Amino acid sequence: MKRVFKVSPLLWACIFFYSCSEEEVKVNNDYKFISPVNFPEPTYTFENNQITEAGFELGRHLFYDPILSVDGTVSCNSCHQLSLAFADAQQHPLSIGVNDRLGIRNAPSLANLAYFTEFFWDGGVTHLDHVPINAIEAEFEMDEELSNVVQKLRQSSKYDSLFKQAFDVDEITSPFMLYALAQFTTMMVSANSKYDKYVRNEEESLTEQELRGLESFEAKCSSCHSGVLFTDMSYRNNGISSDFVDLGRATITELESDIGKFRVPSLRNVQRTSPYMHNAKFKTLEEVLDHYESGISISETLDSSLEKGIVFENGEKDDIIVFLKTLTDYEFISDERFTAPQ
Amino acid sequence: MKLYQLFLLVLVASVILSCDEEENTDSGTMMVYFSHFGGLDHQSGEALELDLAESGSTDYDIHSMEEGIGMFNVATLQYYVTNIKLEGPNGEIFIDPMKVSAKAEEVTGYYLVKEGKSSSKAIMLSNVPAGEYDKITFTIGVPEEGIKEGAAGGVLDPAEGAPFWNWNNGYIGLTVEGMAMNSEQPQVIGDGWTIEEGSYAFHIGGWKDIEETTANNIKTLTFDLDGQLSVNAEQNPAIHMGFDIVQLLEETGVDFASTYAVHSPLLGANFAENLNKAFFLKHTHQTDSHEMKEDDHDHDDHSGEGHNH
Repeated sequence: MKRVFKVSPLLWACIFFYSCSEEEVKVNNDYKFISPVNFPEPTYTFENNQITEAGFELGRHLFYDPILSVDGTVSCNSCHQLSLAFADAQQHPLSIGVNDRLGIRNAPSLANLAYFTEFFWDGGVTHLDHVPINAIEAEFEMDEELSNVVQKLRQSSKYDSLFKQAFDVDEITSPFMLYALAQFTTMMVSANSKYDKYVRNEEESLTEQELRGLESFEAKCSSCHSGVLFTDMSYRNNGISSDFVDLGRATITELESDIGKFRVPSLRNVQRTSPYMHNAKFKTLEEVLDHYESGISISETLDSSLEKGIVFENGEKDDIIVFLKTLTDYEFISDERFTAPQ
Repeated sequence: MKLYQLFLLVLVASVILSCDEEENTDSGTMMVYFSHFGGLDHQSGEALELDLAESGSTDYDIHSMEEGIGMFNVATLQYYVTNIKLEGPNGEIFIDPMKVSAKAEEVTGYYLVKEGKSSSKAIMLSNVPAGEYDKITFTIGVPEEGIKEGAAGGVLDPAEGAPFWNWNNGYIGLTVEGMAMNSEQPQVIGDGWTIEEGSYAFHIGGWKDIEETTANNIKTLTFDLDGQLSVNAEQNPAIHMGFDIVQLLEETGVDFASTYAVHSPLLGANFAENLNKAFFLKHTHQTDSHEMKEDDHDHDDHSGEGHNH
């Protein structure tokens, strides 16, 4: 009798649990990395750092927390805003760090970082996990030591439990902080623009002008802005300047032939990421196309494809700009998951 | 070395040894020690032990006959030792397992050897297959394998003192800092930091082979031992490696008047090329009995068995 009593609640629990899970088979994909069908394989090392809801949420807290900066005034979000596809505000042509220190380059969009293998305008960082260290320690950004950030997180009241939930660790350490930030940022996949829905045949069509723009874009821009990410990931001198205060790619390679070269940026959400170029030289897409048509500065490392500028037919620039606006992903820039935590 | 450290080491060693005995009687351990020197005594020809100077001190206790080097001191000396491999004449081979992990306790095969921290200068290799060994190979620096897995803990955690370049991501393979009489480094005062006048900092890093032209300063060094060391469950063989800073600077042709701040792969390339001349095999012991009581200074007074000089 005693024995039966002991077994049966367990049995009931099993039956209950089983029936529950059978009825409510609802997979929550909100915190799972799903690569869009028209995208390549991601390059991020998810095998080391699998995304979980708790890890993502910790990353979200960190992303919006100025605790990362030396005086508690600058967070990642200061220069990377959701509504701008995580690029910087237009009134900040160059990033603004602690004590209003002016940065040296325009903060780029963070969309689709899981597909990149080199980061920053000069490609100096080769793993997404290492990206925040640069932003935290750069004097004109957060100007804080990574070790101090870890100390501050350990002393704060909220982070102990968030790290415990996310990674089952008893002590906060930098690699898990970087993992959490990478979980948050790798999820920033932007692949639901009008253009994406058009190429995936999801009942979306482009207007005549947009199609003309696409055709012109493919003929005149896609040798550099190639593929579904609209960048060939190379470093090029696109004639922005001939006087290189910022050596660009040569900072990393230390090659003279790389002086003045910068990463070809992705054009996804380009309508939202003004100003343009590493040095924020242009405010509008019109100015950008005018530059390629007639504003190229000649220098030794100028990309050979731009020596004579790009020749556009009448109305072609307007068409291209109309097409570029189909790359704006309104679902991405209003995605609730990426908003500031409450 | 402090008494409790010695105690801890003996404890660890005995645990590892006893484990080995249970699991595999055909293996043993090998200790690898690193000691640091500042040139040779001109009378005796003996290598001079390196004593760390206080940061910013102008007591120059190291001397090179080379004019461009002259008098200097060392306040910081540290380097990564990775990819340790032992080989023997009969095909014996031991490859130290390498693992990068966010969890500090799971990181293996990466060692940050630091002058002034004696525990870092003694590396215990365990589960070495029993046999004879006459060659050691190791890498100075953290190669690509240590970067491409992303964030890492333990000796690879920049928040725990791992020397790391954030702008050109990678670990600094070798760090040497101090003051030099001939250094032309002017004083630089930043926001909360100062670079002392007359100081020098050599940070040798860079692992990227970009277009095969960029400096890859990860160097693998191989040394023949001065005899054969037997590894088995009973004995505790040891290899003593040395590193001579004067040798490195002389071979590199350093002139402190122009070379005092090295913070990029290209500037560090010459240093990296000469690491194989700065590191040397000091000696080996078939039985490592009393090594740990000293702070890795000269072991010549050592009276252990099987001393291979």
